Amino acid sequence: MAGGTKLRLHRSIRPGDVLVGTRKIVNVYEKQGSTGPLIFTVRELTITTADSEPVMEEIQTSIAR
Amino acid sequence: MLNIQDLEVGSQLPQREYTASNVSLFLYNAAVWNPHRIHYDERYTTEIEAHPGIVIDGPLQGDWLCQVALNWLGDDGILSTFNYTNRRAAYLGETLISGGRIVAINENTQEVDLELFIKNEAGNVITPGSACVTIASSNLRGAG
Repeated sequence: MAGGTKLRLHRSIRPGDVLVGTRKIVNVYEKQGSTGPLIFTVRELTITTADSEPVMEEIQTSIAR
Repeated sequence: MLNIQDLEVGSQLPQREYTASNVSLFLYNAAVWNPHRIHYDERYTTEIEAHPGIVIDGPLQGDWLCQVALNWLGDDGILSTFNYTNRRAAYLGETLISGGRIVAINENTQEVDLELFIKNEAGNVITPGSACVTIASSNLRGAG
C-alpha cells in the first residue's frame, strides 16, 4: 500500500530536454501495525538533465503487510 | 490572476468532493499499471487481504491533493514542493473531500505555503499534505 510522497520540483521541463531518471531504494524498515508487522520501503527518484541540472526529486514510501 | 499582495494567511482554497466508483478505480489502476486486486476485486480484497472493502488508492488521493494546489494556482505560478502522507485507508462508497488553506506568505521570495487535506465524511483528515508554490513575479501589482 502507498504510504506517501515527497516531491521537489526544480524547474519546468521543455521540448528538447534530455532527462535522466535514477531510482534507488534508500531505506527498508519494519514497524508493528495493529494487524501485524508492516514493512516500509522508501524509494527515491531523481531526475536531472543530461548535463546533471536538477529537475525533480521524489521520495515515495510503500507499505507491505 | 493571483496577486501575492491580495493573499491572506488562513484563506481557504476551494474544496471538492470525490466519490470513486469501481470503474474509476479500475481505470486509475490500469493507467498507473497497478495490478493490485484490492482496488477492483471485492471478493479478493475482503476474503484474502481482509480489508473491509475495495481500497481507494493512496496515490490517487495524493493526485487529488496536488490538484487542490494546481487548480487554485492555475497559470499564475509554479509548484515547488508537494508532500503528503496516507494515514488512514478509505474504501469504495466513501465520499472524500479535498481542500486546503494558506499557512504562510513570503512576499520577498513570492512563495506561498499551503496546507492540504483529504477528509472523510466523518471529518477525519485521512491524507494530510502540504505544498509550496511560487507565484510568478509578473503577477506583482503594477508589473508588466
